[in-house]
Amino acid sequence: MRLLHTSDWHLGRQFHGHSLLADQRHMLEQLVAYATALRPDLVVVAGDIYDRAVPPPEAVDLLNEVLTRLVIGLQLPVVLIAGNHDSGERLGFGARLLQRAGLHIAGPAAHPVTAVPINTAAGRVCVYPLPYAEPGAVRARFAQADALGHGAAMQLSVQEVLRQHPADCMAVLVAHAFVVGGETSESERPLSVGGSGAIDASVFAGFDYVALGHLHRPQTLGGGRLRYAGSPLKYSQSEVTHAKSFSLVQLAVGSLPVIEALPVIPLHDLHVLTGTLAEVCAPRPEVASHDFVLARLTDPGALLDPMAALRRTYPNALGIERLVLQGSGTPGARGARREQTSPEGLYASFFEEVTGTPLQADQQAVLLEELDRLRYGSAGQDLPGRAR
Amino acid sequence: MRPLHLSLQAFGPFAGAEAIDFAPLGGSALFLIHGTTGAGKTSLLDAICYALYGDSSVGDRRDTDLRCDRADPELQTAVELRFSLGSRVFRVSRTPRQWRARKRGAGQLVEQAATASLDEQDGDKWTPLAGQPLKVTERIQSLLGFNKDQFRQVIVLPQGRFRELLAAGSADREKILEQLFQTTFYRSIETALKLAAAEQGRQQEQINTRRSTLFDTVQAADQAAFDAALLAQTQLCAERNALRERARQIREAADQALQAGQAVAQLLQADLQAQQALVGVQAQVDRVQGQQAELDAAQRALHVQPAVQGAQQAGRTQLQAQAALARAEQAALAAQEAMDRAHPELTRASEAAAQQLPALEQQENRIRAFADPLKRMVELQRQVEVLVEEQKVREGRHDAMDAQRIALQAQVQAEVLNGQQVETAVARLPDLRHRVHALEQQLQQVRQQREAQAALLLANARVETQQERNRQLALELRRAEAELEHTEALWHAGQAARLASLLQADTPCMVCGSATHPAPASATGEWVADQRLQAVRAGHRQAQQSSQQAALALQAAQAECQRLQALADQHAGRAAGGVRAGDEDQRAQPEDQRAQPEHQRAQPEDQRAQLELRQTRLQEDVLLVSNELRRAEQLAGSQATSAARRAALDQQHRQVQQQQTALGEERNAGALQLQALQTELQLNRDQVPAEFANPDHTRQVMRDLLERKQQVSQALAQAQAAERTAALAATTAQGACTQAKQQCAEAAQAAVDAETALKLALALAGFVDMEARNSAVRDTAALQALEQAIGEHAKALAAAEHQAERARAACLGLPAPDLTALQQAAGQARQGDADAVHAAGEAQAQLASLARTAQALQELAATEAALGTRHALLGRIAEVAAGTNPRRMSFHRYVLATMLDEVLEAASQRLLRMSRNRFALQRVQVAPGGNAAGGLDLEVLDAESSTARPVATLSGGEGFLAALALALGLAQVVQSYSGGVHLDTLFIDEGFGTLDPESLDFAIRTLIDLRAEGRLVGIISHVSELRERIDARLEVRAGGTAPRLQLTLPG
Repeated sequence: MRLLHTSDWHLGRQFHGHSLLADQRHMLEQLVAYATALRPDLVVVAGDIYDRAVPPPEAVDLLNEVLTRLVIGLQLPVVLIAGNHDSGERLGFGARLLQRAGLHIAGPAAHPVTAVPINTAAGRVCVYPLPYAEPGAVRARFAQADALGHGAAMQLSVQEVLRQHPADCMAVLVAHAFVVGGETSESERPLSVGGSGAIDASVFAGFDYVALGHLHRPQTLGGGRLRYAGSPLKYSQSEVTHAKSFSLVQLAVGSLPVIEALPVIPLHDLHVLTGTLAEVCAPRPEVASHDFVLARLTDPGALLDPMAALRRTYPNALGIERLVLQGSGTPGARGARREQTSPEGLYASFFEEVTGTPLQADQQAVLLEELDRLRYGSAGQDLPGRAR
Repeated sequence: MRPLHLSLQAFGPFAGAEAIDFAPLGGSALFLIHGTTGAGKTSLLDAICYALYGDSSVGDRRDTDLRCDRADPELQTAVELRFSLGSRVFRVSRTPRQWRARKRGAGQLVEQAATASLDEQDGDKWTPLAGQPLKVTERIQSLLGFNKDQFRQVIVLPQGRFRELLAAGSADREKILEQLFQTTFYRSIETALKLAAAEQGRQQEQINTRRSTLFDTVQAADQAAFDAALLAQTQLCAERNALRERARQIREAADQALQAGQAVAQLLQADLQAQQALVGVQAQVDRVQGQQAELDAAQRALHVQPAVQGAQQAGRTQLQAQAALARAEQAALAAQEAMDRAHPELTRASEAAAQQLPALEQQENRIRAFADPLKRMVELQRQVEVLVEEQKVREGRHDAMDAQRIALQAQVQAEVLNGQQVETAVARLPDLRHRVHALEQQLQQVRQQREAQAALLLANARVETQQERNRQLALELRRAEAELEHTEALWHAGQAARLASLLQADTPCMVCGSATHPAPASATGEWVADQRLQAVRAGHRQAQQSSQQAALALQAAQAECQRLQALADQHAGRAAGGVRAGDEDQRAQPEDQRAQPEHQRAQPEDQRAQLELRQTRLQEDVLLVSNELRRAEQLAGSQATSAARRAALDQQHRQVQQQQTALGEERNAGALQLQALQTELQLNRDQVPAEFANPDHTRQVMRDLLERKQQVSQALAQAQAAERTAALAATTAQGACTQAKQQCAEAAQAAVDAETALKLALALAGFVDMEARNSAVRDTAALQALEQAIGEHAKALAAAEHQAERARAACLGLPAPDLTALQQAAGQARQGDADAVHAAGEAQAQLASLARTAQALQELAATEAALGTRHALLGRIAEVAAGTNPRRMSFHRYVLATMLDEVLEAASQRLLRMSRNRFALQRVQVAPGGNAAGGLDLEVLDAESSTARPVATLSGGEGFLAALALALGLAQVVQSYSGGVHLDTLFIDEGFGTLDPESLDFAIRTLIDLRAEGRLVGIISHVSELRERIDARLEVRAGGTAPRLQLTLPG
């Protein structure tokens, strides 16, 4: 059986103030083209369809169009699950009605998991779409008394699925989670506040293939049966070095899945350029002029309107980072000031700074005397016959 | 300051009593307060501010506005806040000034003044710390470290006013920072230095005054006059000392004379006294002699004592012996009486025993004879009962087995019916399978057809794009050619001009050889270098190449297109042919399929639609038939199980029958046994006589007999014992009597002897009778006193005689002195001496004071010198510290600026992250010569333009992020300074609505990261994104009777 695995579309996302909808549309066109040419048995989208719980209307329209072309136009079954960025209930509208057409959406966490059977020449495969659920929701659903971690919650859900799985089919799980050993990027929203929410790969033993979503780098884990398709576009600075792709997976009974990465060509590529302003503004062959550019400038001194200069070469430049200016500021003096916390030390540096001459030794002696008097109130000079 | 529990009633929009417990949120939490407009979110912060400072957070709401209008008049407005500060826990409660219903007298309202109280927790109890509104506020201010304005700027970022700290002027910011960092020490250093410098000036003044005063005391104009005065005084002193020496000597002589005269007078006096004493002692001799006689008589009386005692003892013994005799006679009498009583008793008991015993024994023997048959009877009866029970149980089991058999038969019937159904299902199987297969084949064909069409579309598209590119490249090529021509022309012209310049008149031209040059070329136009020409040529070549490549590519694409077209046609033809020869199920659409080959190329859209439709229908049919097939297979599978069940049922039936027969046999055997037992029982009953037929009654009779026998024997034994004891007692009593009589006689004899001895002793001692003797007796103390008195008198006499002799010897031949004259002389001499001493002393004192003054003057001079140098140094330091320096910055302000820089650094880090590396905060550097009151103003550094701008130019959302970053940076830095106040709580009232989604994401991440720093952050916001992201929420609901506050916790 062949399936086309993708995830983390984040439709409607904004990047440094720019809307990425045009890039996402361009990317989805390629998905449709691959699907047309390769004719897989199933298309799987493993979560984070939208970027926010309430997405912008253009994103909704784009998803509508793409799914219609896949399901009605190409007659391909599509399985969709909600990720941690989506609102499961909103995404799952009309799920049972759409099921008849061949679009299987698993949105709300409170609904039980229903299998999607796919009949192929090689045999039957049962696909189980498991939407992302907060541990609190899983706990409520299974009526557990104690608080659950992400690992325990996933264990409960997986066990329920395996219980209803017949023995003569292959089992494929579609899930949205963070598995231990996976490489993260800046653009993933952490699953649990104050913790990583990581799950051990052994929870998924028992499935022939697990189509995962959430991490943005395409990667294979767990001895070859767990795969993150990764996000098809670069969504943050840390993803500049990733090679973005869709995954075409061939499953056969008794052997490991064979995974092929289908490359995705973005409309605007993302680059991070480091150097002085002059170096960065000079055109270079590997960066197209309309690409997104983030500049990290090493100029030590002040610059006049660097953003405008950058935009002359790269009209879609997104931002500037001044490496030197974020350091200690006026070098030396601030650090030195912080070291001296004693009053006499502070006064000495104050004196030097405001008068330009350092504090003399006899002046310092007098100062120390006065400070001692202030602190401990010792007797001063006593004159004879002075009335007390 | 961390709030633990807040309770309020009739406050703001809350008509009833509400309470929030912050403890379940834990130490470090981010929680969201949300609710509809006017529900009371900001009022919760108001409540906290009011509880602490007696004033609401917004400042526009007055004290009297705090009461809820809708509240029950009986309910008082009150707020109570429990909070922790470090490890101490406090409780503060307040009520504002309000009107309440009068307790007596209906309908009237009386004003109640504001109250407040503050307690600290101590174990289980609360120790009160303050009890009045102003005092409570003061105390809270000193505990927390800031007043209410600073609280509003640092702990609570109020709605719409969060920029206050950001936009505050230097003076305000100075106050806040001073409060937070406790830098009053540095300010006090500044003041102290200034005071010290002033002090020094004053000291100098004092020295001068002092010096002139000292000169005045000696009336000297200056130092020289003073020295002269000192010298004069020294001389005077010496003279006066000499005078004094002489006067002392005179006095000593006079004293000595006086002393001698006094000694002689004393000796004469002593002699007189001794004579008088002697006479006194001699007068007492007579008395002493009388005492001696008394002493002798007493000693004689003592000798008689032993005899007296002996006589008394004998009398006592006699009396005792007589009493003993009387007692013994009484005892003998009593014993005799007892014996008389015991005898008749004994005779009576023996007679009764002899009568009764034989009859009792006879009865006993009879009963024993029938013991055995009775036992057997009892046993038999028991066995009969057991057997009857067993028979009943067997009956029951027999009935149960009947019922079981009937049930089994019914089940067998049901099985037979089931088997028939299964057979029908098996028959249908092959047919269904065949149908499924055929449908699937058709489905496959349709799919292939559609694929081919799609590929064709793609190829067509590619062809078009390629053609477009080709056109563009052709344009490029033409342009390149044009340029090449132009460039070559220019080059030629240039070359021509160059050659022309070398031309000279009458020399042949290099090109054509002519000697005349009518119109030489001139250098007009552009000079084209060789390299440029080469470059243009290269460009042209490249364009040509690209063009060619593109043409090739186009050809390839077109070829591909044609190939795919052919493939599509093939598929269509096959599909059409397949259909016409195909299944009866496809009769539904014959027209569409026959029309297909003709319209294939002309209307691709219709075709695709039709194919879609067909595919859908085929899929549906496949599903239906597959389901039927599965069901049939299931039934077929169950065939085998049905037969097995039937066999099992038959076997069970047989088993039950066997069990039933066995049971019947057992029943019969039991009945026979029962009969045998009953006959035996009857036999035994006949053997026993009627009166013993009842075994229980017989046993009872036996017991009674035995008892009676025992009673009779016991009575006899008792009577015999009594008689024996009485006899014994009588004999003992008699013996005692005889002994007592003998003792009496002995005692009488002894008494007579003692009397005689006494009379003899009296005569020896010289007394007439006992009376005389008794009067002469004296006790030991009196005797001793007498002896002592006699001895003392003797001693006194001897001493007095001795004394008189000595005194007489001492004053022999001495004359009497004249004491008065001697005393007068001594008195005068003393007076003279005293005067001289006094005068000398005066002079000395004068000299000493002058010396001290000289000393003081010296010291003053030394102090003055030291003061001079120090003054110079201290003056400079104090000046600089106060702000008199080229930068016009005072020391305190400098320290604050340092701390502010640190705060801004921390704040900028956060702000950079939240604003995508764009904004940072820094302090405005004061220009030299500017106003010293500045130096703590803030500005914003924009990375995109690399300039600094005032804070007021930030937009709403940017300003919010900056204020938030500043508050967080401030809290972080204050914590790290020891002695800094605790800033471990932060409340943010709105402001998130001003942020775009990306900035909101960054802001939320920053706040979530705060959890690691151990701070409690509360956010009030209506932004729905925050409700999805933050899992600890406090919902505030407006109106109604349901609870208004609900806390949801994560997990």
